[in-house]
Amino acid sequence: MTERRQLTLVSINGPYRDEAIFTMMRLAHAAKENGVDVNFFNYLDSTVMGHRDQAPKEFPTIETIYANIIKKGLKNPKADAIACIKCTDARGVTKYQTEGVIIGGLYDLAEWISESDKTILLG
Amino acid sequence: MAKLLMIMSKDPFTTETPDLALNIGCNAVSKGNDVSFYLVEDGVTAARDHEFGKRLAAVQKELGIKIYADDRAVASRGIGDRLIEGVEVREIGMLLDFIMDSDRVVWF
Repeated sequence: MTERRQLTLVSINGPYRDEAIFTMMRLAHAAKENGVDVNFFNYLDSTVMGHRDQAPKEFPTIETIYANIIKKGLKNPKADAIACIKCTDARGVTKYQTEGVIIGGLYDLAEWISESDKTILLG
Repeated sequence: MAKLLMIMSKDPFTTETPDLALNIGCNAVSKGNDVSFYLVEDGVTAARDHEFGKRLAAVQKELGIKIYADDRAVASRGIGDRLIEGVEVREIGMLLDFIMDSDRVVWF
């Protein structure tokens, strides 16, 4: 059996500021459809992305889209998500992350970078 | 020769980032690398037929840099009929393929 390809997506900006997070979700969907494993590493303001109970008035709720991808990623191809603990603590969102997001750190990112075929930083 | 993919997500009027990306891309080609630009989000406005778009058209023609634009970003801005010649409008799955198949990927 051939090993599945792996893509790590690192984001640093919060949702609703620009389209970057939504582009990342579209990319993750495409990865799922094409049999590529996805790792989300949420850093700095992007840790707000997984915050529960978001209710934007004029945009799709990013947490719902994100949670769906993580949920679908329980089956292969996988989708794993880690939020940086220093970033979540600083923003008070550690305990409010959507289901499936693991609180981790930069050491996890280092491991993912070394394991992945590609790592992309969306800035 | 390395295959370099440069993803441009910013428009050329509010930041100098597309300028920087273009310069790096041209430089990379001059050093023998294969360069492609994928325009996404506000970055697709760079391929409109205006000053910056003309620069893109020139590097496309003279240096062989390939230019792609994200279909949804183009459609949502209604600029499909105002793009420079030679820009290929592609969907996000194609971007994924480019990312996985390129040697180096930079997101601007």
